[in-house]
Order: sequence, then structure tokens, then C-alpha cells
Amino acid sequence: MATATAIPGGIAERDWEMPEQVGLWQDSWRRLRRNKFAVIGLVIVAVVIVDALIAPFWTPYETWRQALGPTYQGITPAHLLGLDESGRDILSRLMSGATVALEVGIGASALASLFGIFMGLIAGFYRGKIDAVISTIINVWYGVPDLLVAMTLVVLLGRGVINLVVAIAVTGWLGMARLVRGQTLSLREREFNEAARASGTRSLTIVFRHILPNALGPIIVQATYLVPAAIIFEAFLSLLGLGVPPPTPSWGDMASEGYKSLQVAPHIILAPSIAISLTVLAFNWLGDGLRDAIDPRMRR
Amino acid sequence: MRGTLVYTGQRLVLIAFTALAVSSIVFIGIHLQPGSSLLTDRPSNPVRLQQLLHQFNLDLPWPQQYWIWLTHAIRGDMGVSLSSNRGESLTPVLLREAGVSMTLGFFAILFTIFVGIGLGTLAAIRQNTWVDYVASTAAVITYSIPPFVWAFLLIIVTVTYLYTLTGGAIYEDIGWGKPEQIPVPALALGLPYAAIVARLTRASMLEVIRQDYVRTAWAKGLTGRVVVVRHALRNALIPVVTILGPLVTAIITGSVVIEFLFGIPGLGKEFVNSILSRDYNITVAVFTAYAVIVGFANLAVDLSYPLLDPRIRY
Amino acid sequence: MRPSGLRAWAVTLGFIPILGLAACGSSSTSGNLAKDQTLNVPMQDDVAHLDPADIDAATDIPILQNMFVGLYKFDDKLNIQPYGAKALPDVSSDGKTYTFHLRSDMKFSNGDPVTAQDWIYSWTRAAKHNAAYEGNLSPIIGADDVANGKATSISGLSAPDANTLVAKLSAPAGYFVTMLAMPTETEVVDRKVIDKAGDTAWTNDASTYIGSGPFKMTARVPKQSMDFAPVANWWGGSTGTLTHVHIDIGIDQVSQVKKFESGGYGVVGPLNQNVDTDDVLRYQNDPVKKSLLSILPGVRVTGLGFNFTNGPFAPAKVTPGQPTTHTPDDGLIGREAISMAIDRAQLADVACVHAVTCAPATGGPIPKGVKGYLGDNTDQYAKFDATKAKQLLDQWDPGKTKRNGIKIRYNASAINDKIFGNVQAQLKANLGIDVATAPSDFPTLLAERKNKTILGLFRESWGMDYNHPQDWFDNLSICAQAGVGKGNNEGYCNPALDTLVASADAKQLDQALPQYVQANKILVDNVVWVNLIYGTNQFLTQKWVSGEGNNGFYDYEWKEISLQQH
Repeated sequence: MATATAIPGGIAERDWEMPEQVGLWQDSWRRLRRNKFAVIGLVIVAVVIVDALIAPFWTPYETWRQALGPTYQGITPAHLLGLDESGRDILSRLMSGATVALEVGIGASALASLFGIFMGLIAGFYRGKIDAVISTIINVWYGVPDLLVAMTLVVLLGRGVINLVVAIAVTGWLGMARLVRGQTLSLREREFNEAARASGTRSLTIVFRHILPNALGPIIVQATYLVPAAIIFEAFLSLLGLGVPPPTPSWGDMASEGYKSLQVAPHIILAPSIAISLTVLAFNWLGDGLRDAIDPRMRR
Repeated sequence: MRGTLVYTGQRLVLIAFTALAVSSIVFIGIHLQPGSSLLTDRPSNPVRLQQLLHQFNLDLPWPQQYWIWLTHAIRGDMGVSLSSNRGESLTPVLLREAGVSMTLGFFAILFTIFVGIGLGTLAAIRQNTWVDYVASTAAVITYSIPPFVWAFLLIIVTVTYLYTLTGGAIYEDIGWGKPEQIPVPALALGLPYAAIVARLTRASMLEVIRQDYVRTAWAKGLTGRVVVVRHALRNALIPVVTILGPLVTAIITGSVVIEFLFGIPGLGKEFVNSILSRDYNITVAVFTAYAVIVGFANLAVDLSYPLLDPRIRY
Repeated sequence: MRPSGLRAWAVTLGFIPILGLAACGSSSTSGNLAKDQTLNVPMQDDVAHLDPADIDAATDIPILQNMFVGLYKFDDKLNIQPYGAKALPDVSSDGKTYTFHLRSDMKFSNGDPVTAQDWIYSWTRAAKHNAAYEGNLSPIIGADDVANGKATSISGLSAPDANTLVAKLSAPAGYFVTMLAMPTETEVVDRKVIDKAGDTAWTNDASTYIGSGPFKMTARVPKQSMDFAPVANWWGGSTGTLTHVHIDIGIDQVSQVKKFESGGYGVVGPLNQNVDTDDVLRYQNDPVKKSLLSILPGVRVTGLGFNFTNGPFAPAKVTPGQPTTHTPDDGLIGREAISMAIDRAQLADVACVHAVTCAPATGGPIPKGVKGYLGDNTDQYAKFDATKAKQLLDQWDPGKTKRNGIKIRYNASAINDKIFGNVQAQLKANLGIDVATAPSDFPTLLAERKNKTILGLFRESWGMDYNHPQDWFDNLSICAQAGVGKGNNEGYCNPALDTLVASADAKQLDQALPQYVQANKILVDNVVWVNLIYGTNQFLTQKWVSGEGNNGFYDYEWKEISLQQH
């Protein structure tokens, strides 16, 4: 995995020159709308989200029901994407898979971001020994391959959406913490902070009033990149037999089942693979677009 | 020079500390997992179980077990297998498997760097032409397709269709042991990261190219352009080198899945098996080995900065 | 010795269609042996043990039995054949003394002769090692004492002369000879070699890893490969045409088949690992490839177990090991409901490639093909009846509380995901209950199952060790195995069943069979397991490999195999 946690994280960690105008967000939104790829990404993400909201209430067939027809059946009018190896409707499972993907993706991204922001803020704000300890933890933890950590944790905690989210977030927060720490360190020195301190404002207020809002742009970009990373991660774990337990239709599980029947019924692997790839692509485009929109200097 | 030595020393201490921290945390973590490799689905004999626990020190308190593991590991003894052919020394097995994983990783990184930098440079010097658009779009799509989907595609193409289409004449044997079995998994492993390197190279190359002296040289014609590419590339590579550290980590992690899918007998595959069969010694050893490899890879990357950019010193 | 033509005959029958279908006729003309008689075979995981005294995994048996020899062995039809012994033993009238007449010409592969003392040494050593199949020796007086460290020699064993072995049993055991035919720790090893090389180290080097079977190991790289060659002038006669057997280790199911298709492997499946179901389907659907696939009846049953000591399906709450016979049985109706709600035909269709790789289990726990099988459609609760099941469910759980939060625990694997995924879907569709599947790895399931901590449903699966119903009852159903940490995972303990089994165990099989059948019926009537499917063994065999015979117990003799020109 690490496609996104390690590397886009690395990209996002580059120096951020924060424009200070108040109209920043309007400007960013205008720039984002002009970016074709970002708009396509946004549309796909919106479709996935709508689908994920509908799926728990309605799918053409129940996702768990087996033997709806002959197993491995190809595309028919009744089953637009065919049936899988247990005779379940692939379209219905694909739809529900979006729910699982977003639960894991957004869940892990949110958890990792919250923890990362917290650690980064503390390290950057208090500096000194606290920073040294947190930075060492981050540096040590960075050297540990995330997939191995997640596998060990899933075996320990058991398979399930919540446990997966935890297992992915346990390593996912590092990039965010590094980013926020850097931001905090530089923002802290800004004059207005000095002024705020001089006027006796409490440190918590400084953090929430001044530092956090200014660091929000890069944080949003980083959090966006974390979503596809977590989705790929879930698929990796599914492939190794450690994903969400069946019959929950996760795209990763569907792909790994499809892989086994590759030569018998290639249609089974196709749908989830395309779904994962498109969703990841959309989030990456959206992330790139957000990055360019929030910080035009980064634009290539 | 002196600075470099001190810096290296500090980093080595950090690597040692990481290894210690990782091994102890993992040691505790895996012992908390339910079940044991000593049980079978046969009716078990409690006396026998006790004998086995004793034989492999599993009846000792964890700190003592960890100490035994650590003192042996430092001397290069990775302990014995607890699952397959129980009691057999693991060191030769793990060394062999590490060799396999490193070969795969080496070729994947080689591919990533050469293809990534090549395409990125090409896209940059042909900025805003169709070459650039195709290369850039392909790069985003490539890294958005998860590595295992690439693996699926490559397996379908090389193993199934080529075999069928050519009537068996061209056949990519998945597995390991023959040189011709290396390229396909290395490609599957390196492809998404090559795309990332390409994007980064393009971006930083463009920044360098925009500088005045480069523009002048560029205007001088073909020989000048060759010089530019060479010179600009050198500067453009500095930010690329910064991501080599995370890249190595990513490729090591990715190799777990690729080894699993291609049936390659490396450390990654061993790790997956060990964690599912509670072969504690293997899990701790591989986990720690990965942390150490990542540490050294990052150190090597950091030490290579001054070579590219003489301004950087430690 | 077993007539060697038997296996060849069975194989020829199986292969007639292949010869008819083979397109390239010249390549399959019989009698033209290939120049290179090297058989390449893949296996998934390395052997668990190389020492016969330590065997505890079914994967080891098909390999080690080519290197080591027991007193008896099974043939294709699961009949007992003398191997290290000249004939079946003389049994005293009280059924407690067995006299074995040994072959005088038997030798280890290093030339050392095998005498009665070697058998005593090997069996005593096996008892000391006290591994999973130690039970195969326990009928002998003193064997368990050695196992538990209370004695150093088995008092019931003696050797009046070099070619005679006498075993005194503590009680008559009609299954004793059958047990001895199981190729595990009763195989003979060479004392001289082990004393010299060390009790554990002797298996580490091909030069000291000595057996008395038709093949010997020539090389081994842990977790990578094993190589074997026939023993020259083997005492048992011909070692066949193979000159080399090479086993690749660490090859997963899918890769095995891929390499088979490129000609890299002669056979796939025999080393106790089946062919992936999707590959079975692919071969099944392909008119040419179909002939390479052979499916042999297995001796494995897979089902769902219930906890009899605690939870909603237990007759009453008891300490594991205590009798679970309680009237009224609070869980019986619930167990019946679960069993009757599962349409085994659909299960076999979905999970077993349209019922090709398994058959619906309709005749109780002891699988079809093994003595003691009750007969097709004899399990009244294996009859699918959704309406009846629903009624039973409501009768068992009128308050609609017990049905909530039930989980199915199983160890994750491709086939188990299919089987228990289907069971889950059927229970939801037919009973309207939302059962959750909770897959884990095998060690977790094993530990929790043995400790009787799973209160819902859990995967049960048993491959018979030998063709005798005693194997089932003494390992899985008696009170002695019902305690915490023991193999009767259900904790089912019925003193009446124990009495019946004990009485049957003392008799020779033909007299004991009615009682075993009666005991089997008790298990069915009490729905101790929901018996789901009977397994098969699947093999892929190249058309140029002949003589690859097999029975349901994975007995797999390399000396019967020969490679034709191709």
C-alpha cells in the first residue's frame, strides 16, 4: 500500500506557503472548479457517496442471498453484472461495497487525521522535550512497514470494520502528525501569534483560533489522500484473508474471490477492481486538485 | 566528513533503537494472540503440550522469553521453527528468503527509478505536448490502480492469455527460481511507484528548467539541450531522492502482497504464513528485519544527498 | 504382500476415457516409458514433522509412508494388507494377546536388518514422544505409562525371537490391527542410526534419515524442496520405474495448477491438498482437460458443532467432562431447527462445484465409504424442511432471544468461506435469523473449540484416520474427551454411548458393527453435529503419468507410478 500514505504524504509535506487572505476559501473553490480532473474526481466521489448512502436501504437483490441462479453466471438482464461464485448478485454487492469502502476509507482517514493533528499540534506547539519524544516515536514508527502492523493487529483484534479502521489508522497518522507539526512550528512564530500571546490569550485559544484554521488547507489535502490509501489497504488485507468477514460485500473481498475464479468467470473480478481503481483515482484527482487550489504555488 | 560520521552514528543508534522497540512490541503483540502453533485438530494430550511448551521456552514469562530471543538474535540465531518441521533452525531459511525478497525489491526499485525518472524527464522537456499529457495522465491512472490489480492484470496476460494465444509457446511461469520469473512480479511491484517518481521528476524538472541559465542553454541548440537535460536532471533529482526512503518502505510492504500472489518464497510470504500459524519466532524476526532494512535504506538515501547536492552537509 | 495388479487395474479403469479422448495418440501409447523418470509434485506447506514418532499432521503421512514401513497398510479398497508383518496376527481367545510374525528379509535402506527388537524400540520411542497419534499404541499394556513418563519401556511388548513380536493389551481391542495399518508412529525406525545421530538430529541430514520403505530421501531444503530416490535392492521387491521424486514446497493451490498446465508437475493434489474448486470447475467444463481430473471419494465429513456444556444449544449448563444428558434437553429442538434449515443440496451445489467435490451428508457423522456409515438419507435432520425448521425454531425460542447474536466460527480458507457463507445465507433465508460468520485463523479456532468457549456454531471437520468407526467415537464422542482442552469439542458426554462404544471396541469389527451403528444413531438423534457434506479428494494427473492410485486415506505409493513418453 503506502502508495498514498507514504508517498503522497511525502509530497504534501513539502513547505506550505500559506496565503493569508480571508477570501482564501472562495479563491480555492474557484480554482478547484476550473480543474477538469478535480471536477471529475469530485463527481465520482459524489456518486460513490450517494451509492453508499442508498445501498444500506436498497439494492436490486439482497447482498447475502445465494443461489439466485447458477453460480458464476455471466451478465443477464436480471443480473446486470452477473452472479458470483456463490450465486449472489454482483451489482448489489458492488453497491454495498461502496458503503464498506467509505466506512473503512473515511473512518480510517478521520481517525488517523484526528490523532495525527493532535500529536502534531502538541509537538509543534510545546516544542522542546515533548516534541523530541513525539518526533522520536514518529521516526521509529515510520520505519515499520504498515501492512505488517495492520496484519498483526487484525489477527489480534479479529476481523471487522472497526478493527480494520483502527489497524489502518495506527500507522496512518504519522504523515499527518509530521505535516501538522511542521505547520504549527512555522505558524507559531508568526507575528499574530506573538501578539495574541502578548494580549494574554490562552494557549488553547491560540491553537484553535489561529494555528488550526491556517493549517486546515494542507490537513484537508492530506486527509483526502488518506481515504484511497485506506481503501487499497483494506483490499490488501482482504487478499491476505484478513479483511471484513464475509458475507459483508467489501470490494477487496470480491476482488480476491474473483481472482480465484479468474479463468472460470473473469466477470467476477472485473467489477470490484474497476470500482476500487475508479474510487481511488477519483480521490487522488480530488486531492491533487485541492492541493493545487489551496496552494497555487504548488501548481505545475 | 566528521559531520557525516556523527550523523551516521546517530542514525545507527536510531535503527538499533527501532529494532529493539519493534521487536519487543511485536513480541508482546503476537503472544497476546489466541491459539498456539502447538495445537492440532487431533485430540491433544496435556502432558505432551506441557513438554512442548517447555522444550521451546514457551512456558517462561514473556520478558525472559524475549531476552532469550534477543540474545540469540544479536548473535544471528533466529531461533527455531514452531510450526513446520518444528524445532528446525530458522536462520538459513530466513536468510535465503531475505535474499529472494531483496532480489525482487532490487529489481522493482531499479525499474521504478529508471522508468519513473525517464518518463518524468521526457514529460518535462516536452511540456504541454501530447507526450506530456499522455505521460501525466497515465501516471495518475497507474498509481491509482492498486498494485494487486496490476498483479491480477499481469498474471492474466502473461500466464493465461499468452499461453492460450501462443498455444503454449510463450508461458510465464509464476513462482521463483529462474531469472525469467523475476521481471513480471518486479513490474507489478514497481509500476505504481514508477508513476509517482515520474510525476515528481516532471514537477521538479520543470522548476529547474524555468530558471534563466537553463533557458539560455536550451536556446543554444541540440548540444546545449543535452547538457541541459544532464545538468537539470542532476538538480531535479534532489527532491526525487527525498521520496526514495518512503519508496523503499512502500516496496517492501508491497512485496508482501506480490510474493503472496505470485507464489514467491520470500520473507513477505513467510510473514503471512507465520502470523496465521503462530510461528512466533518468524513473525518477530521478519518484522524486525523489515524495520532494520527500511532503516538502512533510509540512511543510504540520506547519505546520498551530499553526492547530488554538495551544499548539503551533515 | 498385496497383489500389485490391484491398483494398476483400478487405475486403468479410471484412465480408459483419457486414452479415448487423447488427441495426440502417439504420445499416450502405453508401454513407452519416458527416459526421465522424475516425478515432480508440489505441496503447499512444508512437512510438520519428518520423524514418524512425531507425526501430527495429515500432510506428512503421504510422504513418510514411502520412506517408512509399518506392520500393515491399507490398499486401494481400504483393506488391510501385511507390510512389515508376514500375515495378520494370531490373536488369543481372550482377545488380549497379539502375536505378529515379522518378515525376516526386511532391511533399512542402510542395510541394517529389521528385527523384532527394532519394532519394540520404535514403538517405545513413539510412546515417549507422545505425539498426536500416541493413541494408536495405547491399547498395549504400559504404553500410556511411557507416554506420561511413568515408565521407560512398554511392559506389554516382548520379542520371543527376532521375527516374532508379541503385544499384550490391557483390554480386548478389535480395532488394534486397523490402527497399526495407519502409516504414522507405529512405523519402524533404525535404533543404531538414531543413537548415533541424536534423537532429533537424525532427520536433519539425508545420510542419517533412514527408513525401510521403497524410497529414501536424497536432499532437502527446508520450506523449499525435498528429493527422494528409490532404494536399491529393496527387500519388499520392485520399487517401480521412478528414479527420482522431487517435491516443491511452498506452492499455493493456484500456482500448483498453473505450473501443472505448463507440464511442470506430473500430479497435483496427492499430498493431502485438494485442487482449488474453481480449477476443478474449469477442468470439469473443458472436454479435453476433464480427463486429467480425477475425483476420489474422501473420508472426511464437515459440519457444524454445538456447545453441549453452555449456551443456547446445550441441553443444560454443565462442567465440561460431566454428562450432558439432561431431560428435557433444552437445546435439542434448536439444534434440530438449525440442521433442518440447511438444504445440503444447495450447499453442495454452491460450495462444491455443483456437488462435484463433495456430496451432501445425509447419513450421519461417519462418512460414506467408511465402516459404520449409516446409509444415504438416514439422518432425519439432514432432510431440508424450511417450514418445519421455522416451527422448531419458534418452539425452541418463543421469546425470540436465543436466536440473536449467534455466530458461526470457522477457520478462513477459500473452501470454508464458501461452505459457511452458504450456511449463513441459508439460515438467514430459511429461518430469518441473522447469523454472523466469524472466520479466524486455525490456531484461534482450535484453542477456543477445545476449551469449549464458543457458544454458537462452529466448524467441525474430521478426516477418518483409518477404516474403523472406533476412530470416530474414541477421539470425538466419548466423555473422556469431553473435558476442557480435549478433542470432543462439543463437550458431548453420554454415559450410555460410552458403554456401547466400550463394548464394541472390545470385539472384532464384524461383531462390533451393530453396536457402532447404534452409537452412530445416538449421535444423529441428538444432533451432536449438523453434518453438512462428505468431502472428496481431487487430483490432476498428466496423461503421461500412470499408476497414480489413491484411496480416501491419502495412501499414495510412488513405486506404483511410472511416466510415459510425452
